[in-house]
Amino acid sequence: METIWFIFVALMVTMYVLLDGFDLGAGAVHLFAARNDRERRTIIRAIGPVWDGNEVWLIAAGGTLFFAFPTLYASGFSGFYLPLIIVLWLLMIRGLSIELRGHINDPMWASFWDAAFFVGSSLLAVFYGAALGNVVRGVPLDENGNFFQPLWTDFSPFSDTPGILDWYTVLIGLLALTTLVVHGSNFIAVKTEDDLNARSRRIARGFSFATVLLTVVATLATFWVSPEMLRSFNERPYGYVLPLVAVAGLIGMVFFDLRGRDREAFLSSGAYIVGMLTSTVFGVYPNVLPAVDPANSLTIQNASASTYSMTVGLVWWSIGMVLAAVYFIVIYRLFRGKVRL
Amino acid sequence: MIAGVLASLWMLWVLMLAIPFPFIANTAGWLTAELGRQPWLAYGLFRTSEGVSPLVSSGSVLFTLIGFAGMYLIMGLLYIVLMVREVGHGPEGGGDVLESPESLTA
Repeated sequence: METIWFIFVALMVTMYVLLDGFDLGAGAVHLFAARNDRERRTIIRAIGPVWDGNEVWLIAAGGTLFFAFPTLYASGFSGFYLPLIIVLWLLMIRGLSIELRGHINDPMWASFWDAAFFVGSSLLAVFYGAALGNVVRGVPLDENGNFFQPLWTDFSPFSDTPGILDWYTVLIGLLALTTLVVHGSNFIAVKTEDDLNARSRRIARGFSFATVLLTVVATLATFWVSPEMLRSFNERPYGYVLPLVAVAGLIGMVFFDLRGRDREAFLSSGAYIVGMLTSTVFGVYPNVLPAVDPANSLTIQNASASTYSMTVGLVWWSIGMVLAAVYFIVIYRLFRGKVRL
Repeated sequence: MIAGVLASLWMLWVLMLAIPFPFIANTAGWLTAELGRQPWLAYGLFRTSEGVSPLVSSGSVLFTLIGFAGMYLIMGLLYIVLMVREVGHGPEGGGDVLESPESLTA
């Protein structure tokens, strides 16, 4: 039962990154992909009907985490207090920039919110990557499940007291940024025509090479930082199918971006994201938050809710998921095709 | 009859001055719920003092409190500015907003 809920939470986080990932990526590149107000408005309109719905997956994943693994929720939200609040502020700034940009028709007003949209989106991508990096590397949990880490320390690979942002987590943050830039640019390319389409395709192409390079570096760094990852895969070799999905996505991403096949490229960057995230959580399992001292690690066993609540939750979660799936299918069908102002 | 009341000058004044009321009601409702439940976090089950994160420093909490206050202050000012502009445009001036991409937001 704990494993089922572990998979549910992982699934919801993956859905979040897959969906909000492309509108974050679109925010990170819109200053460079779009050259004038009309093109910027085209990008905002492309994500306009879906971005806030996409973000609900984050809230839903957080809610499910609270329900299924309350100890992890308590420990993580206290330990990562400052970075989580910063993420919240970035989400607020980004949401405001999308909503307020069109309210006053003035170049200064629009460019201010464009800048806010860019900063919010890019930093969120880096912070999400860094968050994942922290979960992989583990945190200094004590026997009560509490921990504190400074936001940053000295960024040294040999530091005894690594910060929440250090060389490894920032590396993962940069990988998340290039990945979402590719994913977002592919989305813009799918949704637009002419110059904007060509420019975002070129950005996707450039950043897909950067993503390949960073993937290699980040994978090596991950196995160095957390040898348990490799052990998980060797103990349960069927898990190797997940990194294969990531590699296939990576190859597809480069291949289709070079060929200019936007839809296939977008699906490939999606497959890459799914492969990378599922590989990571597979490697972390059965931990949900590894500790520096393995005896204090939070696992699916010691962090989960009671079996009774998890059984009852199964019913409601399923109903909720069916409703969410219907909503997302309807909304994406309604707004399919190229965006024209 | 109703149309007559809605069009009368005093009713228009009342409607305009009533704009802050939903915000006041909303905030007052939250304050009632949160303060009225003290000293419990979950009524009868879990005390607020038991729910404190021991390793989150008061400095961090103060920092985020000031941050949130600042964010909401700016959002409030933006709201007032945009609202006053919209009111200033009068009933015919709404076209700009309707054509903006945000109106397509789900």
